[in-house]
Amino acid sequence: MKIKVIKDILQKNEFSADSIRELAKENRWFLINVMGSPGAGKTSFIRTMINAFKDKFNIAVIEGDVASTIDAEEISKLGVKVLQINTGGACHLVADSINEAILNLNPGKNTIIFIENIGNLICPSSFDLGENMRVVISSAAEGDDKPYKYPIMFESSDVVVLSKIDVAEVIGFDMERYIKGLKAIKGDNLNLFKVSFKTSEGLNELEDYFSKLFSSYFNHK
Amino acid sequence: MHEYFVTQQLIKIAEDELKEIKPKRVLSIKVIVGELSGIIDESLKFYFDVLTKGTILEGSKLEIEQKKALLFCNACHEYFERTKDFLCPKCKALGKLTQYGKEFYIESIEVDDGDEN
Ligand SMILES: [Zn+2]
Repeated sequence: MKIKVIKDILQKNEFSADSIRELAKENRWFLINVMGSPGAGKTSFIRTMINAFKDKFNIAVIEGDVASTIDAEEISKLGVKVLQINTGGACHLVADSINEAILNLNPGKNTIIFIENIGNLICPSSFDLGENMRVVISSAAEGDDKPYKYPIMFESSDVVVLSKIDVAEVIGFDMERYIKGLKAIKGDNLNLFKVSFKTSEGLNELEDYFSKLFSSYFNHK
Repeated sequence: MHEYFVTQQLIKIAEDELKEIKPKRVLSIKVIVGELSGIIDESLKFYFDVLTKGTILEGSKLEIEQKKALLFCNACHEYFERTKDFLCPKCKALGKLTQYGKEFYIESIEVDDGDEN
């Protein structure tokens, strides 16, 4: 006998993500899932956001890492609540672990919560964490072929931050090819910021965008 | 490691489906895996064998059907298999991603329910 099933295997994660969404709505949290390769600049992005907005908004950070606590220690020096999740080798965070982390973190109402996901361009894109927004950090140093190689990561993200643009020319990064790939994936919804966390180039535009976003989110009832 | 988590989910879903039926034996589970789903077949099979031990699924076969990613050409309005730069092989226009290639679900489960017919 054959039983037809047709069930999404990630559905349990979806339930858990839904419960995070409910909690977030109740508590007026704004969750940002930050994804990207190791070394692309995920921690630099979060550090930049904290420095720009910590005086205006409550900020907390959930640091996902395979094993170390280096990033969490660095972030906690900036004076915001940080909780580290070590996945013990797993290549992505799941909604269950975020649920648990939020309980432990106890962020309070009206908080921006950054979630630094595990560094890779495949696995994290498949797992809904109940976030309000997804940001992918993609460095020029990784090459201009990333959208073509990992389209789902870019498709699933609301904002693309191209980092390390200070080295783009030196390594022959083809901006046109990169953007063409992104446009094929995102169409007119492309929200691209070209920055260097080292030289601060492009950071004003990036901060401007998030400033407007946070203001409108937290001023709305 | 991605596959460890998803294989656990897969087994849970199958167990739920089989609760009512209580088959004598589960013969096979068919899973559809899209090229862009990020799932590695070999890993899935490895974890399936490990994690089904002691469950109703022990000894059953995991059948994986792969689906290619298809892009849609805005110029010819036709689907084509993913190319390196997303260019349509016919007219060289840029294609866009579609739902084809992102599949990841259990399609069916085959059981031996002891019924001779
Ligand atoms: Zn065409």
